[in-house]
Amino acid sequence: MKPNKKAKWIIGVSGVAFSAFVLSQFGVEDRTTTDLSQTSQMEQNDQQSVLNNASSSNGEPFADSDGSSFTGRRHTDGTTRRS
Amino acid sequence: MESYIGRFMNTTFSLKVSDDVDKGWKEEMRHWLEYVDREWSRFRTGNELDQLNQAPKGIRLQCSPPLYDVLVMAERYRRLTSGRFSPYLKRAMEHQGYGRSFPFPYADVEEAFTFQLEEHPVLFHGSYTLEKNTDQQLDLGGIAKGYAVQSAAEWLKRHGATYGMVDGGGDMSLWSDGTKAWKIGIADPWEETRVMDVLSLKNKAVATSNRLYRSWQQGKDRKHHLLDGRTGKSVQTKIVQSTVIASHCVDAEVCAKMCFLLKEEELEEWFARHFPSVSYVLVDEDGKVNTNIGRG
Repeated sequence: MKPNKKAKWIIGVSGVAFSAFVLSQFGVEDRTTTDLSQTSQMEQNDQQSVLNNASSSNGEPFADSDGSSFTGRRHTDGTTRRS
Repeated sequence: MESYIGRFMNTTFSLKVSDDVDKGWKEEMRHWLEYVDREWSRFRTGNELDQLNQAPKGIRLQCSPPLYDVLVMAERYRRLTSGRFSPYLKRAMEHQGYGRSFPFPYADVEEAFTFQLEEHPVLFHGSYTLEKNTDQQLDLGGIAKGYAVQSAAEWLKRHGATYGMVDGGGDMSLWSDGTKAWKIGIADPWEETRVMDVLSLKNKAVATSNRLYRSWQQGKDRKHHLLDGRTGKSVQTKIVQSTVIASHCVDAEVCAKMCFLLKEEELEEWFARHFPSVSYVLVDEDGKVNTNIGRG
């Protein structure tokens, strides 16, 4: 990190070692600055892998994407929960 | 498949990656997550975030690249959401009673508090230099975790992992070579050990917000941690849990909050305009489920 002469305070020296984790270098941050409506068709296609048989707004449980009925005890690779 | 589990940011991180990942990845992940945990927490003193918060208004600061990057990103989301999402809520959060790590059942009633935010609370000048233009303080909260998860995933992809999962306490980034499909459960909002549904995902991120767990009594009022960035107060909504599926975890994290911050009738149009590929699964206090999956 090259010092900026006009900056009076320098904070986060330990963070310099983690420049390889800066998201903008992967182009991820650009999505919030560019036209977000131009989301790629590839993303749309991938989305189809998600709950194709989902119901909406009717209070009924979903069927998962392979069409099996919901049991509440299925094996999963992980669970998304409140954070 | 290789795996790594660690405790960071008051939650459990679980990482699973394909065997072709570079050696030494676990140490890199541990160092990165320790850094975010240590330096971006609002509950610690003397860290990067605290130094930024203690800096006087009007001063120029030079930040570390990751901190600068997450701040730029957070400000862009603030503008995109017309101020509903905001990283400038530390004092407001404390005033609502959330001034310590969870869990706690009660919080003292604070003195009157006027929440006001400048139009440009922080000005970004490039070269990791910013100008602080507000007396409000920053709380990176969920965006820090979403950033940590997505950054870890991007690093692992660049270092040979053809498929993998970074799970930061339920905020997840998943990727696949096309053959691996990840089965991800959505926790029941009232009974976390129960899965209410299962998603099948390949290259996506998922985040879930819930207002039931991080809630407390403050005087006569029931408060929770999801504040409206325009008012600094807990948002009033029937929704108890939102799960969002997006292309990356920071989007998912912010959009999960937006499900609480938008009026129900605004949701579909707002997401169609700003995040057309994002899917959401919402549960309200009556247990009713609302999703845009399968629409259009």
